[in-house]
Amino acid sequence: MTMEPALKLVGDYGARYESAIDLKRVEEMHRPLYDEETAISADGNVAAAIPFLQWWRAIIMAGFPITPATKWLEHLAAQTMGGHFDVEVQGRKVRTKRVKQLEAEHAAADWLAGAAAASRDLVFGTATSSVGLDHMTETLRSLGASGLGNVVVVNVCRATANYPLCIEGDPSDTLGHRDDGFIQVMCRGKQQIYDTLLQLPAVGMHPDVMTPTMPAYFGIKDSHRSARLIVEPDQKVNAFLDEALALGQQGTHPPGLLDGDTSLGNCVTSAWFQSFKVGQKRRIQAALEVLPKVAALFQERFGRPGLQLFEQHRMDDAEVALVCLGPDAGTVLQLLPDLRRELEMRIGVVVLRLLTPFPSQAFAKALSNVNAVGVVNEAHHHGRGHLTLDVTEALSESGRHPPVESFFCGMGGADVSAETWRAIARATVQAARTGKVSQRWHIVHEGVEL
Amino acid sequence: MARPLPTFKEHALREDAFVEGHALCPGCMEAVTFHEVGRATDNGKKTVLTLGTFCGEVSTLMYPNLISWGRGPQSPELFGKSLGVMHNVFESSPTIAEAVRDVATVLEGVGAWKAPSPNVVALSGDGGALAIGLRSLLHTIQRRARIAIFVQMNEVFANTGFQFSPTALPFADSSTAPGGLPEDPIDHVGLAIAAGAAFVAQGSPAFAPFFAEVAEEAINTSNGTAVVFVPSPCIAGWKFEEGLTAELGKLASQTGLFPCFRKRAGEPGEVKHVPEKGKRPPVEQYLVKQRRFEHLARLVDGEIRVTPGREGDLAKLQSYADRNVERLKKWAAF
Repeated sequence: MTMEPALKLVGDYGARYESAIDLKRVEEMHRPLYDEETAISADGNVAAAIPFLQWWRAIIMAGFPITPATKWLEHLAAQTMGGHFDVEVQGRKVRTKRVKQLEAEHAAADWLAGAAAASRDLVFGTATSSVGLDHMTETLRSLGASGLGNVVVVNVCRATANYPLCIEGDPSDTLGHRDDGFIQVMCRGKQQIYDTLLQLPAVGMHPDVMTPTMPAYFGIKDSHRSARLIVEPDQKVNAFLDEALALGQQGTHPPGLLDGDTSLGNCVTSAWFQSFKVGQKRRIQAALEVLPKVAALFQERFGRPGLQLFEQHRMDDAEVALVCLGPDAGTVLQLLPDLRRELEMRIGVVVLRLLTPFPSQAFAKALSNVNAVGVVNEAHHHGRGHLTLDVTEALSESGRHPPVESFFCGMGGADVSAETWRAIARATVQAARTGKVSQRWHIVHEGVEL
Repeated sequence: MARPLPTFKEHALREDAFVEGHALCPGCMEAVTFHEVGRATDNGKKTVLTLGTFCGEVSTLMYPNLISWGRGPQSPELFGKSLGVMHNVFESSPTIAEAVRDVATVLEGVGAWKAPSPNVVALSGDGGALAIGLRSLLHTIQRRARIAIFVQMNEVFANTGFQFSPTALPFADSSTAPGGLPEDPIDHVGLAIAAGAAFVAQGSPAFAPFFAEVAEEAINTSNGTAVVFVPSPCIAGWKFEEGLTAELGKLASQTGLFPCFRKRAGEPGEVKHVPEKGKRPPVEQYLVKQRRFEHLARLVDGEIRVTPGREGDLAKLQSYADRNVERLKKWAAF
C-alpha cells in the first residue's frame, strides 16, 4: 500500500500534498541524451530543442508547426518517438518524453497553461513564430499574469503581418508581444540559444519571479543556419537547473492542480484587480535581480558567459553607441574597428538581450558617457521603433538626453549589409557632432536611405 | 464498464464539492449540475476541474469570496478528497483539462503518481464549447482525451448579457438577435459523436436518476472523451417565473427540443424522456413559460394564445423538435 500524501499548507495558495508527485522517480526515469560534453553541428531550432530533451523536468512538449519554427517540433518528435526515451515499467513500455500535437497555436498555449498548472515543478514549452504567436495572444497574456514560471514559449522571430506574407526573420512578433507579461530574451548564435534555454526556467520559476519566459532568435538567419554547438551532458544540465532553482527561497513554491488543493485564474472586480497587478509587476521586475545570479552560477558551472541584460562591445571608451539585437549584430562587430577609424569617432555597440523587463537603469548607466545613440529597429513600427521607445525612455529616466537616431532595416529578414551599418554609423556620428537628430527615422537598405 | 457504477442512492449520499459562496442566480440549473459533478467526483480520486469563462466560472471563483469549490471549508486531509480548480479563457477548458490528463498519464506511466488515476473534468458554457470553442471541443474529443466535459446549454451568452448563441432555438429572443433567428441550432450531439467521443449524453438534472447515472458514467469513462450536454434553463436570460427550472428542464426533453440521450461509442444509444410523436407535448407548452418566446405565443388566462401571423414560425419550431428527435434516434444507432 502507498502512503497517503501529507498535506502542507502553502500561504495563500491552498495546500500541497507533498508526495503526490514523486519527482525523484521522474528524475530517475529520465534517459540521458548526452553523457559527456559533445560538439555537434546544429541549427538554431535544434539548439533550442535539445534542452527539452535533456531536462528530466520536461516530460511533454506542446506543438503546432509554423515556419520557421517547425524544425524545433520535428526534431523533438523524431527524438521522442525514436525509442531512446522508452522505458519498461512493470513489463509495460512507457514513453517518458512526448510531443503533444495540438490543432492550433491557441490550443498549444491553452495546453501549456493546463500542463504547467498541473505540476509547477515540471517545465513545459513550445516553439512558435509570427502569426502563431499572435494566435496564442489571448492565453499568452493570461500566462504572463498567471505566475506559471515553468512555461517556456520559444519564439522564432518572423515578420508578423500577412500583407505581405513573409516567412523570414524579423523581430516584429517578439517586439509586438512586449506587454504579454513574459520575460523576453533575445539570442544570437546557436550556442547563445542553447545556453539561454538552459538558464531561463531557473529565472522564470524562481519564487520571487514566477513569470513565464520567452526566449527568441531570428527565423532563417539563426533558425535555419547551422554552426558548431557544444552540448553539455544531461547530468550537468539538470544539476545546474536544480542548483539554480534552489537559489530561490525554499518552501514557497505553490501547489499545482494535481498535487494541490488550490485554484488558479479567479476573477476579481476593480476593487482587487490592481493588487494582482502590483504582484505581477513586482515579480517581473525581480527578474532583473535574479537573472544575474543565475548567470553567475552558469558561468561557474559551464565556463561560458551566462545570461546578460545586454552585451557591451567597446563601450568603455565609446562616444557613440549603436544599439541593436539579433544576429545582424555580428556584422557591425566585425566592422567596428574600421568604422572607428573611418569616422574618427569611438563607436561602441550594445546588443540587447533582455527585452522585458527592459533593464532601463543598467542600460542608461552603460550609455551615460555617449553623445549620440543609433537604435537599429528591424521591425515595422508606426513611429520611431519599438527599441527606440525603450532606449529613449531609459535615457530620459536617467535625465540625459543625447540625440537618438532611429533606423529601420532588415525588416522581413532583409540583409543588413556592411554598407547599411556604415550608413547607420555615419548618421549617428553626425548626430553626435551636431547634437541633434537629422530626421525622425531612417529606413536603410544596402546603405541607401529608402 | 470495467466496474459497476454507484446506485442513485449511493451517488446522492456522496460528499458534494460545490459549496456555499457561489453567486449563480437563484433557480439556475448550473448550480444543480455542479452539485451532481461534485458528488460524482467524490470517488476516492483526486479531482481536477477546469473552467472556461462562463457564468459557472465568474459566479464560483470570484476573489475575494470563498471559492465555492472544495470538500469542506479547509483543504481536506485525504488526498482523494482534494480539488484543483483552474479557469482560463472561454474556449480553453477542454484543452487545459486534456493537458492535466496528459501530465498525469506520463507521471502514472513512470510510476511517479501512485494514487488512483485522477478525475479530470472540464466545465464550459455552450458558447465556450460550441461557438468560440468548437475547435477546442472537437479536437480534444478527436484526440480521445480521457476527460469528462459538462457543457451547460442555456442557448445564450448569458455571462455577457444574453446575446445570440449558435445553440439557440429558432426565434428565441436574445439581446443581439431580438425576436431570434430562423435557423436550426448547431447539432451539438451529432458533432460530438462524429468527432469520436467515447460517451455522449444530453440530460437535465430535472431527471435526477438519469442525470446521476450519466454524470457517473461520464466521470468513469476511461477510453476517451465523455461529453455531457446539460440543458440549463436560464432564469434571467429566458425570463421565466421562479420555481419553473425543473419543469422547464423536463419539458425541454418531453417536447423533443432537448431530449435526454446517451450513447457509448460502438454501442446502440437511447433517446429518453420524450414520448412518441402524437403523445408529445406541443412545443407551445414549453415556449409560453418563457418570455423569450412571447412574440410567438403567450398564456392569456391559462390559454395559449398564438400571435397572429406567427403560426408558421411556431410550426417551424415544432418541425425542428420532431426532426431533432428523429436525428437523435439516428445518432443513437450510429
